[in-house]
Amino acid sequence: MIRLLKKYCCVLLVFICALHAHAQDAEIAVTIKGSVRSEGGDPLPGVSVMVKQHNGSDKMNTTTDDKGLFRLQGMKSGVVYDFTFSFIGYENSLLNGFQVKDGNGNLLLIRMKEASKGLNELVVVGYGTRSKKELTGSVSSLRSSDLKQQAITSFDQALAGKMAGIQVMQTNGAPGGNVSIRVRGIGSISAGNNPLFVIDGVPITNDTRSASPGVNNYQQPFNPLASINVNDIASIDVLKDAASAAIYGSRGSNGVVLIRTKKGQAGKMSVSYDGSYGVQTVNKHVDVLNAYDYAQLVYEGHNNAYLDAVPTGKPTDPNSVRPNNPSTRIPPQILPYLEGKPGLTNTDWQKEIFRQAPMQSHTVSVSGGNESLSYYFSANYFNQDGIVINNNYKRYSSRFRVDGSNDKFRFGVNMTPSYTDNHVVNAEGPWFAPNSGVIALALGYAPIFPVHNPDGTFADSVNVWGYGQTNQLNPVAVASLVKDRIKNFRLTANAYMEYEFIPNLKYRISAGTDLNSFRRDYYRPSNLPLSSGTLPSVATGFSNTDMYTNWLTEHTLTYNKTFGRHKLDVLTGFTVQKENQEHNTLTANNFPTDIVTTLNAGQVNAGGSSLEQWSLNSWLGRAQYSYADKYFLTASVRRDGSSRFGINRKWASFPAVSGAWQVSNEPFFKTIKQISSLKIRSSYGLTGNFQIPNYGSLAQMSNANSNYILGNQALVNGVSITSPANPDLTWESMASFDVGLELGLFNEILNLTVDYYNAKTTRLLLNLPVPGASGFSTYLQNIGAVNNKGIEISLSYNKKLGKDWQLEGNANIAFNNNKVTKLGPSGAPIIATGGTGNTYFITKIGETIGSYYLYQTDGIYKDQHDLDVSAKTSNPTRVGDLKFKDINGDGKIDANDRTIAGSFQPKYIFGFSNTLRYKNLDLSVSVQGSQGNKILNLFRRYIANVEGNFNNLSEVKDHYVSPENPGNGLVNRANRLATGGNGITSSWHVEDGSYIRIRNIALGYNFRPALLSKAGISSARIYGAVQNPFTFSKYSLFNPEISNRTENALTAGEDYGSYPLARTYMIGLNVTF
Amino acid sequence: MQQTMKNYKLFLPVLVLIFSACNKKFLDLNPISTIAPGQFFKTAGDAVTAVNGCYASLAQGSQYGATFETLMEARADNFTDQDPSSNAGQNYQINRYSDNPGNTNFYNAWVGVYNGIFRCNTLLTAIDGITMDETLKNRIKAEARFIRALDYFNLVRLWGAVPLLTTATDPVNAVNLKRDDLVTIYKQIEEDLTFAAANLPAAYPAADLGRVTTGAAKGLLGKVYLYEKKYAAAQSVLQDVISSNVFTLLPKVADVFSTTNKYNAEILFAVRYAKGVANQDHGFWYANSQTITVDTTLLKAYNDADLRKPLSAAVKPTGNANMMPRKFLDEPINGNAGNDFPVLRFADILLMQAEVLNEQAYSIAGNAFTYLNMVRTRAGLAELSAADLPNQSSFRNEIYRQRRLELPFECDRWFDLVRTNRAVTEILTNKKVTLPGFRLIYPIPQQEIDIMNNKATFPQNPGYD
Repeated sequence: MIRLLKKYCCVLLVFICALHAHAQDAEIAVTIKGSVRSEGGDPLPGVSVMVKQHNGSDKMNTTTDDKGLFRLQGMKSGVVYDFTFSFIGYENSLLNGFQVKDGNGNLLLIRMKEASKGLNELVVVGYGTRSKKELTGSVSSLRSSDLKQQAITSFDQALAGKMAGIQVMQTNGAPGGNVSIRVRGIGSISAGNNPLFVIDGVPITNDTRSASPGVNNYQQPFNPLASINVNDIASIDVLKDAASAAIYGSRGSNGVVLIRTKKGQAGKMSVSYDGSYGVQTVNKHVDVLNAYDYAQLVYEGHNNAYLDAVPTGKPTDPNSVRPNNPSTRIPPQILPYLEGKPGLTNTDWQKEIFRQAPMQSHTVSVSGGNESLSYYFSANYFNQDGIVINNNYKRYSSRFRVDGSNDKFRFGVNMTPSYTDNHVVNAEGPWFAPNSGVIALALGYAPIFPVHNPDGTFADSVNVWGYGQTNQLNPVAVASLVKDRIKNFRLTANAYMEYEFIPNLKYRISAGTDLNSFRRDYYRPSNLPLSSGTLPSVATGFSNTDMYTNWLTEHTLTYNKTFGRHKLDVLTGFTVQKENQEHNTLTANNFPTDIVTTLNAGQVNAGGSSLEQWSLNSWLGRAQYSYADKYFLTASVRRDGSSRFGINRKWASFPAVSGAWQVSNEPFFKTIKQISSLKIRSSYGLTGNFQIPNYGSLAQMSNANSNYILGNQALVNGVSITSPANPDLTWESMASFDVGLELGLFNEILNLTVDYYNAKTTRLLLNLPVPGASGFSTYLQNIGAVNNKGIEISLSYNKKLGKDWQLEGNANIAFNNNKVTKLGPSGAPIIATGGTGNTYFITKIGETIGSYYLYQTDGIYKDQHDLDVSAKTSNPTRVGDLKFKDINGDGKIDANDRTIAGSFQPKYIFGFSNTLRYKNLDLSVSVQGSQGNKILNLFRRYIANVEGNFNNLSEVKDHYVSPENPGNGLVNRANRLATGGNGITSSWHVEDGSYIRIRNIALGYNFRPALLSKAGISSARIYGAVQNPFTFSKYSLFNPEISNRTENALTAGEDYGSYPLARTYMIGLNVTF
Repeated sequence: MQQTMKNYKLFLPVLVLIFSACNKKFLDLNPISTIAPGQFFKTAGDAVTAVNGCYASLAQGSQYGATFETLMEARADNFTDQDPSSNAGQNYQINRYSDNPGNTNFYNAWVGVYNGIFRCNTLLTAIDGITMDETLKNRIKAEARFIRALDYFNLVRLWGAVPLLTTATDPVNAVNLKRDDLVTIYKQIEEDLTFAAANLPAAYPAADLGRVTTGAAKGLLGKVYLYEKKYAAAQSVLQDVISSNVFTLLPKVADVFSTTNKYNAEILFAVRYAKGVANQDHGFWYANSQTITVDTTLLKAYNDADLRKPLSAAVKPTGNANMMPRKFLDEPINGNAGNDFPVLRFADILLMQAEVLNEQAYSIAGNAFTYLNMVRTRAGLAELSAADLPNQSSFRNEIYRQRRLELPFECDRWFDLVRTNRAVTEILTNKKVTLPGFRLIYPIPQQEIDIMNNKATFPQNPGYD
């Protein structure tokens, strides 16, 4: 007799046999034996077996032994029992209604299915979970197994390429460096495009002010998510469409990333160790000129500057007869190189600042529990050296989680303290002092200089070599001498209690907090010169501390009931959240020595503290109804009140509806054998975006730039209005429509998901450039609209190929089209300026947000005739200078000839990850790519300027020399004193940023349990992996994922020097006892 | 049922908790570290604090702190910028007349000056709502109107016609602004300065040293009249300044710029700085490594006996590779400098009055020679007489020469060249560079042209579009 019952979350259970039936009325104690195996037939030791009398309270527990066998004594024959089998990494198996037979012949054989992506898999949605088949919105999910065996500091890096429509850009290769995540394009211009991160129900703050204090705009951003240990994550679910995200109301527009951490499983205590060790190297060498070619360029640049000034001069004229302008004279330092003397200093500065850097991670976790109480504890140590010298990142983190329950009551506590210690080397941004980016320096610094003087000191002072050459700092000295350290202590904690006070009606209260504190100490010593080159320089230092205190309480009531084939889930709730943001800063200079670098040693010259707050009150409600597992309907609403919005617009409602039809559950469909599941779903909802300054709606006055000196050098207080008021300021509103199709073929071997979405954001929060004549540059307003529409296709497959082979994988591609549809009252375009003069970005109706808006190059003026007949800028222009297209045809080149030169937004992004298993071996490959995005490589202003003041990319060797020797017709002539438009930011500085990157290749081996059980080990795995082994891209600098300004959609896409990604070779071990 | 009732009772405290948390105040958060304007402009003290903020706008890097030296001095022929690299070559381009409207110096100065005007306008509107001593109220208004007048005087000299605002405008509505004509703007400048002259004291207690006086207002008004070629009007107000005997030439010219002798008797108005007070210092004016050489034509123009020559020479201070004019050297070099920026000083008043008198009628015996010779003798030069300067034109040229020698690096030379129509010829002579005529005023910043987006009411200056 076989009784098989599937219910709720149970998946697959095969009950093979129950030997002979001989029912007796009397209850006689008998013993049941059983064996639990994986689907592959391997015995599973340590599986928790729970037995409950079907209509009574008798309970029993046991676990399987090292052969996967269990034995339950004292069972009563003739009585009906419910069995639950649970084991980490496997789906729970239920066996309900098993009637015990007389005698000791009761034998159970249970096969457990490995937890994987199935229709019954639970997906975290806001304030609850649903099985995948019940989902009515668009959600992408990852499980912990997808995150493993990658050389990453932060889980968000592992998302790259894994989920359709989610663009993950690792813009910065520094350990702990920033990752930019965009869900379905850019929906906002200035209110921030970061999704909301919710960890175990607590929406967390992602503020990074301490990491980018007002030192300069290009300081590499710091990633607060790096404080989370990847090994603790059980699942990541991303709510993509408005209907799913609307439950997060005014924070849902950019998508919501829900992270669930691991919890203990009932069963015997399990101890796990996860460790990895890797070696990182820089993944690219940028091809720049060597010392001899560089000297030649300097010579040519200076001679041309001379010949421009003195047309009668000759290149061989000595400096003494040249004008008193250093740029026209030949620096004597290059003379030996011009003579071609062998063996001269020829420094490869990239070699000097990059290194092979080790990284390691160790996590120990202990988990276990029983039916009423489970626990999970983990501790992690992570240590990564940056591939740039002197850069190091360490993390110490742990997690404590306890969950308990009885019939009516559940509770849980979850605490994650973490501490990170980041020794920063400023790699990002422009070369210039005082906060020079070392990457830019390493590329542009003259290769004719050595790293060190003969006495061992840094060869800095030779940098000031006169002759109109740009004073740069020795990149090795910058990386070695500046002390910059960010320490971050973070505690995220939450606790909940749930009480079922009438059947199916549960009240839950939860309280959470996120305490995040940063400290940054910076010291720039006196033995590092400023651009003047003089030593000692004036030493400077600052010390910043930030404290973010965020607390949240939530009250929810849920009711779920099944009436026949009807199923109803209702949620209602109320939440309160508040955050304090405190900031202290102190700066000092004139340190007497470099021995003591804390600020007490210097003269403190500025400091301050500030406090800001925001608060959010919300009501929420959701009803989910389904009929016969065929028709699913969800309606939700959230009402948010925010302190950030103007007095006239404090509250807003965010409703959403969605529905799904599981077509394959219709009787008429059962006949189509090939299609195992088919679901059609559609949703429509409203979400908002509240990421604006805390007091953006209010005018503010402060003493910033307003104090003044009167009398005998006395400071008097002054104030002025620093930002004008806007009492109507409110949330951005996004209305989004989504229709999706989910198709499972051949018994779920192949799963295809296709989504089309159309999201319209209105009331865009816009720091709109306003006329400077108003006294301000920008003014925060709700104005304009933007439209994102696109298609996402995701295909996953999981197929056993013969006895020993299995292939599983996922391929996804997403097309997004971003268009501005409305701007301001007049519809006039917004033209914003970037990192330097003449660098314009345009946001214009009908175009993509933040398109580059530049002069369009058209080769070079190839001869005098070409120069005479072509349009020119108002600067004196010569043959060989860059030529520009006269867009408006008025015969001259000026601001009216600017035109759109691409944008940082890709046409489509794609990802591909595959795992091939053979017996216990598995090989996985993941690939990520982006097509059609352009990079505004501002560093080309220096590294491709052909002036001879900077080292240049090797591509400039093909520059124009004379009409007979015009080079490749694209690169302007060498000239230290740029003529024409050579110095203007133009399409000459724009490059194609398309790329295909092999993110990860990993080979792993799982030891056979039978082999391990003797050593008391239940599972063991070793693996080797390479992270970022190959990148296919035409981009000339290091990283095509770059954007120096991801936080401002109006001006994103610049590269002014950036920290390269590492190629990492790693090995790892995972053992569970 | 009994059981259910009990459960509802359990639920009651929860409901209380929910509703108690939901009160209106929770969402009405006011700034803690900044002031909301509604809380301000209540007392006389608030008005004083706000007018201090107006002065502070002049000291910003976008004005006298840094950018003005680039726009008003680097444009002229007193020094040569040899650094095509720093600030992306933008300063170099201004010095070499190859700048374009995207040059960020333009926008920085534009929005910086207009922010100062916004501060003055905000105060001038709000102060009427404050109940306070009327004399003090009028003094504060006069201070704000002086600063606003100076702002507009700088704007018209840099860009020509600009929008004229006398009340704070909504930033959104500012797109409707047009370029008002010069006559209207000059009329407003004259009105503001006339009001200031009438309502400001002749001097202040020591603690207020640095505030605008009636003498400063009259002196600036005289300069404005001179630019407008209203010589009679200029003569009258300048004579008031001279006759007031509040200001004198210091015996030693070097003392005028000494950082230990700030706001001395020769200073009518200076923008104030202090070294060692947080955020109140400034970078070294005109200083840069290797890149700035004082133009040899300036140094050659000095007689070797001229006591002002060493002040104009570039020096390399101890412990620093930067070259800077000795005039603005502030040793010991300690990060930044603390010199005050002299906007208007008595030597300038004397030279202006001499010029004004001469422009009306050349006179052998008049005060024109007296004032000119006061400046010359203080510089260690011989007095000149009608024998040396026999006619109006030769006298005029000597005034021009003395203005260049007396006031270099004080943001005067470029405007002098332009107002006297000598810029093109002098630049060609001294810098050997052809200066196109349209470059006598700067292009309106491209960003402003882009935002205004109206060729009729907000055109670019000719030659730049």
